[in-house]
Amino acid sequence: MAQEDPGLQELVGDFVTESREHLASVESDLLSLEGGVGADGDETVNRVFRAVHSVKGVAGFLGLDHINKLSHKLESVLDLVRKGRLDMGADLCSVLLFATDALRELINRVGESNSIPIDEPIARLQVFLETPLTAAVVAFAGPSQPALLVEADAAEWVLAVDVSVPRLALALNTTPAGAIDAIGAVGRVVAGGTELCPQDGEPSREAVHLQIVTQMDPEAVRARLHLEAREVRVIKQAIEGLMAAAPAPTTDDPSEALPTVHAAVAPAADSTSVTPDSAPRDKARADSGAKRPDGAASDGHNDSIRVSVNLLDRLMNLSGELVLGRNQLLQAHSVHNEQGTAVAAARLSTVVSEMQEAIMQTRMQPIGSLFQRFPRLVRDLSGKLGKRCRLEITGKEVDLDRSIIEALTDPMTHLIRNAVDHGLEQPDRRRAAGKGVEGIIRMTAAQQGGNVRLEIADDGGGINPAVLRKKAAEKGVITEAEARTMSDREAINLIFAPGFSTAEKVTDVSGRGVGMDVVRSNIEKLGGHVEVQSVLGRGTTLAITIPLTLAILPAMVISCGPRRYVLAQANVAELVRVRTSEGAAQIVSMDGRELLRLRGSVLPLLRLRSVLGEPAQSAVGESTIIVVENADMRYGLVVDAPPDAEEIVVKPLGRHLKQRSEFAGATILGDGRVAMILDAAGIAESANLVASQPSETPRAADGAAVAPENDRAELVLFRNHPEESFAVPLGLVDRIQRIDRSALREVGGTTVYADGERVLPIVMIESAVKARPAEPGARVSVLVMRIDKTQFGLVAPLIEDIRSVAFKVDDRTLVERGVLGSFQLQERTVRLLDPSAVARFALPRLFADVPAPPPATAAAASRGPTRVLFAEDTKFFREHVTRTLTGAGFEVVSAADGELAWQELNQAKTPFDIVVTDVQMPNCDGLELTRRIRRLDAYQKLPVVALTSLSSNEDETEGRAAGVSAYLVKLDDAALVSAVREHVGAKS
Amino acid sequence: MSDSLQNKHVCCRLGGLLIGIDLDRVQEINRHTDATHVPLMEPYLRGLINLRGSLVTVLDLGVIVRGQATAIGPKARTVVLEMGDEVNGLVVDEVGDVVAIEAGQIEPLPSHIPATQRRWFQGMVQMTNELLLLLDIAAVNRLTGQTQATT
Repeated sequence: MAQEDPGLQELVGDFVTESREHLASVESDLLSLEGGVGADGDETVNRVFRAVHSVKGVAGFLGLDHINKLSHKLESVLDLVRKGRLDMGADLCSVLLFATDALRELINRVGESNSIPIDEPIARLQVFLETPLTAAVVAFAGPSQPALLVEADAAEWVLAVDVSVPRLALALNTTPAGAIDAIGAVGRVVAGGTELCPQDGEPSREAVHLQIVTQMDPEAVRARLHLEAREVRVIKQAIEGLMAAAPAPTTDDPSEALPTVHAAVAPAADSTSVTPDSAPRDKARADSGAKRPDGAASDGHNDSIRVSVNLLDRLMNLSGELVLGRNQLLQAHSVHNEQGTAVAAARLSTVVSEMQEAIMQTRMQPIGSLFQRFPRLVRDLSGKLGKRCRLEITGKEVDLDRSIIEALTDPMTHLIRNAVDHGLEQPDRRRAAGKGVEGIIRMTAAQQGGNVRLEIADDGGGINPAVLRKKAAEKGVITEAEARTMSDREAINLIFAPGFSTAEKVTDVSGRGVGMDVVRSNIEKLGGHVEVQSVLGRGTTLAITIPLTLAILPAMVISCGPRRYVLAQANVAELVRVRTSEGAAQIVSMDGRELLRLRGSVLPLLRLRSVLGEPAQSAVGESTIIVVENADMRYGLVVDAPPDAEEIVVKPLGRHLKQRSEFAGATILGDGRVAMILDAAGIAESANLVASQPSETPRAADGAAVAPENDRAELVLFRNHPEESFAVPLGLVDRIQRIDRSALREVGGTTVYADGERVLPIVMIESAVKARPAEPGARVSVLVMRIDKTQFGLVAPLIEDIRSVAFKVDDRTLVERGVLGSFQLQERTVRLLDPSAVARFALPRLFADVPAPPPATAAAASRGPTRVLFAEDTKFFREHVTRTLTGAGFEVVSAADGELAWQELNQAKTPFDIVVTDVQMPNCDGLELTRRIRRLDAYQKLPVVALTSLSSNEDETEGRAAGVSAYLVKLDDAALVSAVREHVGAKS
Repeated sequence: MSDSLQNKHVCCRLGGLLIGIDLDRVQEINRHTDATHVPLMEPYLRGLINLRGSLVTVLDLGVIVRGQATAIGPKARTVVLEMGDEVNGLVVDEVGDVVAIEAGQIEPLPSHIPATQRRWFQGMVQMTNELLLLLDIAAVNRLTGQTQATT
């Protein structure tokens, strides 16, 4: 029985594997053709044609009639396209894709393929075949068989060829497989591939009776295959437009028992050589084809991969080296040759690492294998949703571990669906927004060190943070208060919140409430992370960063008490060593929480021992701090000793140990001991650190009285006297320093602190505003600030907290020079300082050279006062800045958000000279406002000054990219006034 | 031996209790009692051992059954067995003989055994000198790492 023949099964398995590869490339090629036959369009059509052709050829030999018929039909249509007689339109492409799908289905269920109906794809393809006149249908019948249809182009010959494979192989000086190749090269085998005519029952002289459709004339075929004249007969001549129906002298009745030839047309040089061995006579040829068991191949999974022969050779060499190394080691060991043992061990070590690398290499696959399924998905989805969409893919060649590629399939599919469904707008809306009707989704892969970065960017409507806030509050994901105080970036990140769907309406495409949170957790499971960026009206970008391979992870081994732990090196930004003597200056404690000051920035600090519930370490001379970085979060982790680097193999945890988010897995270290792998994000989460903020944010909102119009700012909160609290915007603070009070010197009426070679002027709060004097203490904190490029220090005896605070400023009751107003925070009254006024008052000489607001220049005076448009959503800042600018002699029009400012700008009768805008605002933020401004020619030169409560380089870069002329920190009034002057001056 | 009602059990000592573990489920018994402790976990989780390259979670049967951590003495052993779709280890004080037990020998637990202990056993067998409690592996396997083992 054929199904028991392992050789045949192997052939069928090879055929299935190869055909799948062919069909995968066919699909992506068809989609690229649909967009119009470009420069290499002809080549693409040919590639598709060849792929289908080789599927058909092998199927013919294996007796897979349905596969053969369908692929032949497909090939016929493709041939017309190739010859330019059919245009590759959307209709044709749909039918071709449909037929390809049907073909794939047949191949996936190869064992039963002959019983799967193929009438529909055949009929749909036939429509295209009937259009051109040149296609001809040839009917012929054998003496005792019903009419057998063979389709051939009019310009092709149909030949009956009798050939013995062994003899052909001999004549062509090749292997039997090579001989079959040679037949395939002549033309396509349409019938008889499976038939074998025994002559005199002698198996060594077996001859196959084939029908071949070819463009060669019989003479050429004869010459090519070294056949005798009688072995080639003409069934149909190649005559243009002629319908020839010649009864073919076929000899065999299919109902009669016939032996089968097992052979494959070998398309690639690397593939195994095939020996056409004869099988026993099989009573039911058709049935045996239908029942061919092929368990492994039929379930649609790829459980085999292709490895290049070069790589295999290298592995083979290395395993030889390995044996050699082992022998050396054993020998050296047996004679107690220590030096020899060392040499052999070193050699083994090299071989093993090389071997490891080579084995890893076998697991690497180009990510293109993942990407190639998406053009189809995008095409089908956009068709279903009535959208038009183009998918642009770059970086197909980037290699990734195959297990990662598999694990990425679902998240990537989800993201692509999202991009098409939610990201891109309907064509009419795109037109209205001035965009091309066709939406563009860009999919990019690029290697970055040990990681791969995948981006899915659409140019659609973007994510509206206001809508997200509202939805999240409605669904109870966040509280109303959080919704109000949340920044746009935080709001956009809400899409990752569990149970939060961004779909405005549930479609069958996406948006059933499970989604982005699953995507994120899947990607984090792979050791990667996902970020979202979105610009309203311009589109959304999702970026996934993922390690190249899961199996081997460069890591740091950290000792903590008696045990060791492992942290992925990808999470380690740097190591900081702090001596206890300096520790007090670098590690500050506030309200039970510790912070690390690192080059001017402040990071939350965690102690690994307390994270893991270990007893605290006894005093040591020096602490080691790992600066941990994960996605958009940074924190310091205090560990016992400097860590060692080691490459580890990640092992999954059993279900008992999966409960804690602090651990990502476990590993076996070099000495055989087990070590837990720390999860950087999980540790931060369990310690209540909030992503993307250097200090905690959301709880502050609850503490503060939630009033309808709250302002929000990053503030340094400190006390001068136990009962008097003050706040300074964090953005104005360069650094916070702990100094000995005794180090303060009185020089010429000014208090200064000698900081190395520089002298820092120091201001006591009580010298500038009405405040009780600070209680004496040996050490004080100094907020080092910069006003107008001059640094000074403000003594802040006891720093309470650094955090984002939502507050409602009372700008009447406690206002004085140097104090902007007061607000209530946890039942205390906090005064918000105006550092620039404090500095000017307390250090008059230092700031004396700051030009007083001069009257407008002559040129400006002739045009009237400088007109400033100011956008700011928080009332307090809006009024303060308006006051400052008006005081400096400018005419200020203020707007409560970017949208209103945009309207104001476009409706103003007198043009504005400059725009000053807050960055974070609802509806239309400062950057979006800037982009809108820059998009119009008329405003190309309009200066835009952005104000922010906390500036980072990243924000500033983003601002510059949007077209901001200057980027300033809020409440630095002097800098604002001079920036406005400078930019207006530069413009006029 | 061909009697299908007969089942072999490994007798393990745990404090004053003699506990039988179904031999069919036991993969191996070893001296790997130095499991790496995993912090922040439930007390019944002893830690992880490296079993020839794969990680095996080890549970302390003493904590589960007696509410008392097993002290690791020279006779302590880890019984590695299939539990659900995972392989786990159970730490016990001592491992003794393998006994064949026929279905008819199994009796319900005596009523003086408290409910907190009863839930871990499927029955009892009277041996010559003492009682053998048959461990209900499925019950142990219901521990998830979250729920309190002994309440």
